[in-house]
Amino acid sequence: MKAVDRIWWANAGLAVAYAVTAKLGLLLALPTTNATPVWFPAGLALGAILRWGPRLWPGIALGAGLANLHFLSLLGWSLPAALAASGSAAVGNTLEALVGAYLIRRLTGVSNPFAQGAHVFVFVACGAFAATTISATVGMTTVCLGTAQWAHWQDIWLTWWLGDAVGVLVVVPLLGTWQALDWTAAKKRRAAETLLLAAGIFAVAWVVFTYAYNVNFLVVLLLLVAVFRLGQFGSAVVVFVLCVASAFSIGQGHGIFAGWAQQKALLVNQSFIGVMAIATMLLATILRERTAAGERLRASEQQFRLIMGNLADLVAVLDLDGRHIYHSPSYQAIVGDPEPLCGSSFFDRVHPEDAAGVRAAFAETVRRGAGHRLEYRLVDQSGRPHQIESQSSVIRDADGQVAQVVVVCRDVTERRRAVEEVRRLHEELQHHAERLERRVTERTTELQGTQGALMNLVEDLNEKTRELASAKDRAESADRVKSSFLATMSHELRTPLNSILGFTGIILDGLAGPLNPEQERQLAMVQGSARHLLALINDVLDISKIEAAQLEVVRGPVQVAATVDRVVELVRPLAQKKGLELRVELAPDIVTLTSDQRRVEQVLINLLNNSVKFTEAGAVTLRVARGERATPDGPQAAVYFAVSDTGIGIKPADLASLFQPFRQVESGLTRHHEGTGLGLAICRRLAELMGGAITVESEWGKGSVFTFTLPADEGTNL
Amino acid sequence: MNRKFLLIEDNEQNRYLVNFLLEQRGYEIVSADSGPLGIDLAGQVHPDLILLDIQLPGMDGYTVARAIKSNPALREIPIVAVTSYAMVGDREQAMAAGCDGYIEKPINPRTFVGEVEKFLRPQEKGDTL
Repeated sequence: MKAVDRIWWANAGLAVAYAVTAKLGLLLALPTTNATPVWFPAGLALGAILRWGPRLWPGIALGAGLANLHFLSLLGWSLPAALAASGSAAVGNTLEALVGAYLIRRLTGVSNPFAQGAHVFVFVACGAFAATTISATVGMTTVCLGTAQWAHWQDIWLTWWLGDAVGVLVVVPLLGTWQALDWTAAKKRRAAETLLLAAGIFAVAWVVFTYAYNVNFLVVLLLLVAVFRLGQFGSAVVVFVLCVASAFSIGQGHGIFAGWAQQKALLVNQSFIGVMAIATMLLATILRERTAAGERLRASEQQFRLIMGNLADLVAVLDLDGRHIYHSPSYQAIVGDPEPLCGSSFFDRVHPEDAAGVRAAFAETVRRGAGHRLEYRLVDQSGRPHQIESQSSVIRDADGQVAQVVVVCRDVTERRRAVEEVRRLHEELQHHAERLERRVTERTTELQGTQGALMNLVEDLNEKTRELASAKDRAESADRVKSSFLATMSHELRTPLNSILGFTGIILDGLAGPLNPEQERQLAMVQGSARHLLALINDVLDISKIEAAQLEVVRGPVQVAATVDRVVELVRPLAQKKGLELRVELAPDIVTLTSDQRRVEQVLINLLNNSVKFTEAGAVTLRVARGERATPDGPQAAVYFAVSDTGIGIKPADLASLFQPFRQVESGLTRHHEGTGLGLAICRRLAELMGGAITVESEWGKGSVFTFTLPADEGTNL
Repeated sequence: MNRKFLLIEDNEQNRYLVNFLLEQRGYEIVSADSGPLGIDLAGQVHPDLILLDIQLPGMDGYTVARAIKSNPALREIPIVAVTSYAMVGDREQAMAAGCDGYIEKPINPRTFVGEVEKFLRPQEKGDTL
């Protein structure tokens, strides 16, 4: 839609422009013949088609039709005749533009013929002179059909044709070079120069046409200035100004053509302008072409130098004798020659041993015109050889003859060294690898030996483990045997005692009949011995169980006051019998302990009994108090049961063995103090099992203090 | 007398001792020298109390106690274990097996009967009085 709209508007615009240009051109027309020296619309039409394509033909046709209709109406033609004539003329005008554009495109391949001098020739020949014949012929025929002026057909045709041709020559360059114009750079100066030149043209025209001095040649100078100073578009503008000025002057009948037949003057002037236009355009185009080529050459040269400057390879251009014409900077850098090498021979730098081969290869290259790949050594100024890989190729002149040889060399010294190094490293690595492999093999063998030894060791270990396991089994089974032995012993020893004590008690109580005093005394001895035996058995069992770790502590709440009462009451009869005072001092804040009731009682009874046993006079005191005792984990709350007596005491030397089993202190009083000798040992072990301890302080002859300590529960139980 | 004691004890002398002490106080005694026989007798005579030795040959006292306590007809009969205290946990084990009391050997002939009588059912005691 948009593209269609744009074409429609372009056509409309072109039609209006065509009509307006035609109207303006008519102002230059000669009053008598109504022929114009320059028909600008022809140029506009061709320029537009070239520039925007053949789609604009309707605009041209419409503009041309309207313009012709207008002119013919002015000339007093009837409307039908005018319509027919203007339609015909419009067809001619349109065809002229289309054919001209087609030919130019066909022959040059481009739509803008002002880029190359050759294209300008095509433009002049086809666009300006060939195609314009169509319009002239069609138009002329139409006019003659309308006016019947066949007599002047030839003159008018020529005028018409030349007018169209000049219009094309003047206007198409304007449109065609408009695009190439640089509007930004030096715009003002260019404009000023253009104005100045236009003024010069007017001045020349004024002189020529006002004073009839034929100084037309001055125009050539001005146009040349325009060509060199302003380029294509400026020249086109100046040509256009020249054209307008001269046409206007002719129209006024002034100047050098004054007095000439108008038709003749017109033709001469048209020719003059046409030639000027052609020459100017051609010159400007060729100049531009050359300038552009020069620019390209310079850019190419710059690229070349840039590439060469950054090239690691050495590039040398040699003449056919092997002398340097050009060499790249890298060549100098690598070969290390501070002097320019140009003119010197390439072979001078080749290693003497390689020189013959290189010369032969060079000659071969020149002879065959084909490149060679070669390896040799170049020697730098310090005499150091460089290993080179080179590729030569030839440059041919315009005749196809070999003119120069280009040699591109690569310094592979470092690469060779690197390759050599890599090869050496590789060999070394291989060597290492082999050595490593050997060592691995050796180690493997060693390890296999070691492994064998290890396996043996593991075997041994397994065997040891098995032995240990069986030893453990045996030990455990021994423990079981021991336990069961103890149980059996306990049973087997007590069972007869049950009988002995039971019947002795029955007889002594008189249940089996009366006894005489002697019998009763002796039977009481049996009972005493039996009781002692029972105590012994109990103690032996206890100590055995402790040693066999068969004795366990059963923890539970222990009511301290009640326990103390009970044990004191058990001991009291013996104390009373000996006339001893038995005192208890119990701190009021002690309520319960968590311990083994039965064992606590056992320990206390034992301690109290001991004290009573070894005290002949005085008192035995049990003090119970709370306090702290030192443990490896720091101070700990504790309850102290201190049993003190006023007995015989213990010698310091005996204190150490006091708690050993079967070690009743030797005092010579043994007979008087019957006991197993196990009590204290049992007590100490029981105390320890309950987390406590038993200590003793004693003074020989004055008495002892046994202190039984138990851990107290923190807080609530105290 | 209606009050009957069943004594299960393998040692003859001990059986005689306990028999003597209890008969002195007017109790009727039925004795068994092994566990199985004791269980049979308990079912036959429905004693008021069973005195049970733990260290019996063959079936031990714990098994006997469990067997008697598992019989609904005999469950209410108190069992007093009479045993030589030997190893840790004997008392606990006896109680767990269903015994109601535990008296260690050697017994004290002066206090033994009193200790045993504590385990008689009060109402039966009431009946006999």
